[in-house]
Amino acid sequence: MLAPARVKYRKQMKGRMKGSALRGGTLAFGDYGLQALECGWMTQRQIEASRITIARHIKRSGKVWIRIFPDKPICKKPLETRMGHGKGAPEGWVAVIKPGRMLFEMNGVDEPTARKALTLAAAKIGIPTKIVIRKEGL
Amino acid sequence: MSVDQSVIEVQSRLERGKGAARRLRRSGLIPGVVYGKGKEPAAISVNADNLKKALKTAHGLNTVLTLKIEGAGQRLALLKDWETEVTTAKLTHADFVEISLDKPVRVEVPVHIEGKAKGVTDGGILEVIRHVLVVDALPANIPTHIGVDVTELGVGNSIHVSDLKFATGVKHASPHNYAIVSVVAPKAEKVEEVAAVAAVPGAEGAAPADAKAGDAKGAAPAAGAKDAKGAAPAAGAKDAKAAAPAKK
Repeated sequence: MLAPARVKYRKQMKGRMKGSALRGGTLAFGDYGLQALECGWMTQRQIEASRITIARHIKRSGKVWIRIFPDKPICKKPLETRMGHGKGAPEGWVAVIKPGRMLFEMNGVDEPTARKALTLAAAKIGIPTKIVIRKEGL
Repeated sequence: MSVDQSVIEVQSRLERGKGAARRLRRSGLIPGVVYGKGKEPAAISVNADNLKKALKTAHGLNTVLTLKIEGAGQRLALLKDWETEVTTAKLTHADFVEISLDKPVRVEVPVHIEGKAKGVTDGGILEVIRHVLVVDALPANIPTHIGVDVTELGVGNSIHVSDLKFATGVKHASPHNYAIVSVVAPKAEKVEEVAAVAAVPGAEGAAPADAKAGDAKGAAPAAGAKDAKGAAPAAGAKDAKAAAPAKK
């Protein structure tokens, strides 16, 4: 699963997700992509689940790019713990997704295969997405 | 060779700012600007649908446009830049650069892959590294596309800019010999080995470890893991026994 190799600070504040993606919203590598339509957090597990789904569907015939990285630590208090006593311990990592962000890109497969693989991957994500296909012109 | 040309009617734009631009977009137009070397820039508004239609030629985005500005004559221009809404891909702004037919322009020309690579037949994956190339050419010499024949391309091989033959009057704009297309061997799906996240020496502390208590495969740190005896405690964490990322 994706996670930072090391970090300067272990815990972060929740933050707010305002506006849309200003970068990383276009197809940069592949011919097919999965684009987020709303904001949200995508956990490292969701990213891994989507990646595995795509890899299994296209087998070894294509190439996949993951355009996001879970670099935000998420903290959680233990179960049945009373409130207070400081922030909970780091629990995992998420990528902050804003509308328009390209999540995955693919290449080297035909369109129906790519669509099917990305549809299956989209089912692993709690964010509405759409499939984007490279085209020339506006 | 001659470049495709289209005529498009545009209006002068007197109002500036985001309020005026939004009003314009609600009325079906988009704000734009025309500029050129030694020329006075002009704020214009243009119908996005008409602009899209005007660019539906073989030259696509490199179609030479004759902008008929209401009350201000006409200017020969190329679409230089544009902005779109990130999710809907609706045009929101357009930049036009005024050109002269006798001076070279710098444009992005799409790369078209021709043929089926030998390496793809052998099980490789064709990877297009550059989908467009920036070239310098007179407007009349702008190519519709740059064809790249990949028939002889084997696994592990690539085609660079130096391997291409440009048409007369067309020159690659960069001194770098970019790779354009290559055939790569498919990667076997590797089993993820989850490594613990190391702390920065001298920094506040380690990030969440990736090994879940009682689950060698799992990667998220166990919050509330019952058997997290060997957990890596967070620096100064009081609930380290129960809450710190567990490692087995």
